[in-house]
Amino acid sequence: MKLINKILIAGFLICTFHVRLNAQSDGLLDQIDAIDRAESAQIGRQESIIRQMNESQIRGVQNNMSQLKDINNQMGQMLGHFGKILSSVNSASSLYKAMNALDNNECVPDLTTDASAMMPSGCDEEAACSACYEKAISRMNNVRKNLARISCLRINTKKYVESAIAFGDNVSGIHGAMGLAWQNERVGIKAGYEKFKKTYDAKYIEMMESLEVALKEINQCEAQFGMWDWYQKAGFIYFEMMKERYKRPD
Amino acid sequence: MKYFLLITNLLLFSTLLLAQPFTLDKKFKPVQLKLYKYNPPKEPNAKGRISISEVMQKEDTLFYFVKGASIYSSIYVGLQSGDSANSTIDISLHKLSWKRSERSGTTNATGHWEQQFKTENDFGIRVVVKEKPTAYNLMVWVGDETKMELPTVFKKVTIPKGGNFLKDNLLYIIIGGLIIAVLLLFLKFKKKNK
Repeated sequence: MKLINKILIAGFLICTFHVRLNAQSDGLLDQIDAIDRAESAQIGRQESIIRQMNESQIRGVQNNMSQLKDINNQMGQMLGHFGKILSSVNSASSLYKAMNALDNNECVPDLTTDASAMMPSGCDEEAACSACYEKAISRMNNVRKNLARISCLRINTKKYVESAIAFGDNVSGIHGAMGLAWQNERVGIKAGYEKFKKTYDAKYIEMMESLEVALKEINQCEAQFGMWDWYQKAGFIYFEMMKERYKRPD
Repeated sequence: MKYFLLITNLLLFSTLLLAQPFTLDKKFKPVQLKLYKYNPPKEPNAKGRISISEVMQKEDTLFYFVKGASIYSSIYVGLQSGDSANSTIDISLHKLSWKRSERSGTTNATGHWEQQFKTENDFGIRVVVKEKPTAYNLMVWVGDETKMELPTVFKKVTIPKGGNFLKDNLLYIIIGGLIIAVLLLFLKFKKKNK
């Protein structure tokens, strides 16, 4: 019996070797290997399961946050960590102030004003004059915040476009087949950027007009409580400085 | 409201360009993490939008992206894995390109990783697992825009209040005028007597 088994195994091995030899000569082995590799890759590429919470589930979390923190599961632990960060600060604004930009080179709104462009004011926080200034200053601060924001948006968009074009040019040079597809993409990016620039200019004009209105409102309050011709003496200088600061340079 | 519309309009244009970290590969499809309104009654500082996902990662790498953050908002990204002892997870945050990470790290001994930052518009999150499959929770919180106090544009100076000069010194002006009038009359009277 043992002898028969040995003969059968030897026969099987010889046959397999023969098939392999033939297959190799026909280049079939390479194909078999390729199919094997593809199959194993298919097995490895099982789709991950991502379950995102919907609006009502989020509402459930927000209403039971304190209970979830006590539950010893992943979500409870995660909300616990988040809660610690929130409780370490007095207010949302101090949390914001403690944070840095994601990208070190990313533009962050600069709301400071150069000392030489600062304006004198006749209102020394007295109730009567403060009421007059309040609306105008609120309008001016809104404009300041928005101008700083759109300016950063412009700087970051420019950087993104330049970086994307440099990357695309580089990659399409290496992979020839990508060249044509990239050229279309490149045209699209450039056209999009041109549109963005036009929109920026339109918004810039609108905001400068709004700033002028705010400064003229302050001028009226100054005439009442402080300096005559305030706009001509101080407001106008500030307006011109802002005009220059947020003007698109390219 | 008007300002909101102004900014939204511009953001829309920039979003068309700054869709997510840049790639030329069309097969490359990162998962968008959707943010929903979040306003826990006992945590006023947590007011904003949030995305919480439960993931069973069976691939080496997964790519996620978040849209529509504001530079005036605080952002928190946290990942909590269930099996911290056997497998660490590498996480990186991307802005301009998936090729370059802005921040990266690995889950700690308790399976936790987190980052806080601010950014405008979109950003990407890349998660690489060593053991497959790996289960974890991923959370992104974008706070409401901060109502911060802007640095003043006014300097405290003593302003000569020119507009009120007459009103403030009216009495002295009248007295001065009367003295001059008296002097003039006195001189006139003296001349006549001569």
